[in-house]
Amino acid sequence: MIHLVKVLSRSPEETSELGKIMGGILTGGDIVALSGTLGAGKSVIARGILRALGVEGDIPSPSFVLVAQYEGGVPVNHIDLYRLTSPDEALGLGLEDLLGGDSVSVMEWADKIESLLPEARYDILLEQGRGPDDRFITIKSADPGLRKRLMIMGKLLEGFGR
Amino acid sequence: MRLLAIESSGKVGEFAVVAEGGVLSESTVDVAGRLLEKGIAMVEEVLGRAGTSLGELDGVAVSMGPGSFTGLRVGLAIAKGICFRRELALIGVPTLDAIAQARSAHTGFIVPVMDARRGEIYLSIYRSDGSVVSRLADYLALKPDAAIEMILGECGGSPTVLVGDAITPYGDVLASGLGPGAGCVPGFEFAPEEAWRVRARVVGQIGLALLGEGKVLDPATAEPMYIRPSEAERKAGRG
Repeated sequence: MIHLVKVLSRSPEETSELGKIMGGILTGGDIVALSGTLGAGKSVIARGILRALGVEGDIPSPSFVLVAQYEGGVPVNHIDLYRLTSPDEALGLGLEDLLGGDSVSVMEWADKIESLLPEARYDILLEQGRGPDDRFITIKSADPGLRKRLMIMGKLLEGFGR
Repeated sequence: MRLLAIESSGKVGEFAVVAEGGVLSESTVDVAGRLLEKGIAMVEEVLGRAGTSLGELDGVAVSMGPGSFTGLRVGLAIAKGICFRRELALIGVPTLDAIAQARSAHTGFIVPVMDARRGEIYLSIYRSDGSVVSRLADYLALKPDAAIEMILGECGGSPTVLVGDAITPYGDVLASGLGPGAGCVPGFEFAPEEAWRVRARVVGQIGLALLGEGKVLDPATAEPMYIRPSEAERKAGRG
């Protein structure tokens, strides 16, 4: 049983492509929590996910507005908690109301409010690899249903049965 | 050349393995929102029945839409996932082209019409000489009256066949708009219902031709062709 998907991305383009594949498996109500250091590629993978969800046009970083809402093929919340100083502040933003429902939420710097997030979510961690553009991308979930979908994604990327 | 073909623009998902000689295997499933779960098993199955494997494929042809948002998105994600780092060609086939191509034996105009929901029809207009099909119009989403106007404007002098699932909700409206006296000369007909569904084998067949012409997509930028809702709808949606 595969519990997580781990891929080495060799470029921002590949990271974006993985985001698009990830976006393809999401459905309304899903939450994607992105973590990683500054410059790890959270925005790159987030934009890939949003594109796959049918968001068109510019996707500016929501760092200053914290939340940007889009109407793709499904409603999408793009959340960036970089400027957040405490989890309490997230409650003030009405984050609890944003998450779930019919919207897909893609959250950058999600580790800042990990304690507030529901367990039914995808966690994506981006880490620096050996080369300057190398990133280890780990996708996992504690939720059995979501984990099943991840297992399928892992099979896709690894070449089935093997 | 060998291609895996994916068609998931509607309620039924279909996978096929095709080569120049024809269809090697084909499998259909009523997806009902579970395309991802069932898709991988089906890909394995059609590859197995065709006696081939991912490593022996030259590419993946995928139905690009218009159609069901979820179906198209998942279908393309599966295609991209298979192509990711495998150096397989990703080939996008417009869904309306596939519906029209399946009627290529009809000499005259072919008008694929898909139910776009929200009171609209996805359509384009094609002409066939009995074997070669060429597209004459853009891919559009139109209200039935605008669709009728367009068909009347484009199709004259040759028999016109309408094909696709928009015939279920709009057959009566289309028939009265295009019927005797309405000016569609020399008349039109609806294709039988079994021809409405998009077939993966046709997606694969067109995919082979596109691959032969070097028309492949960049997996990094390829997006489904949703065909945007009308302006009023968009304003309401975006708030």
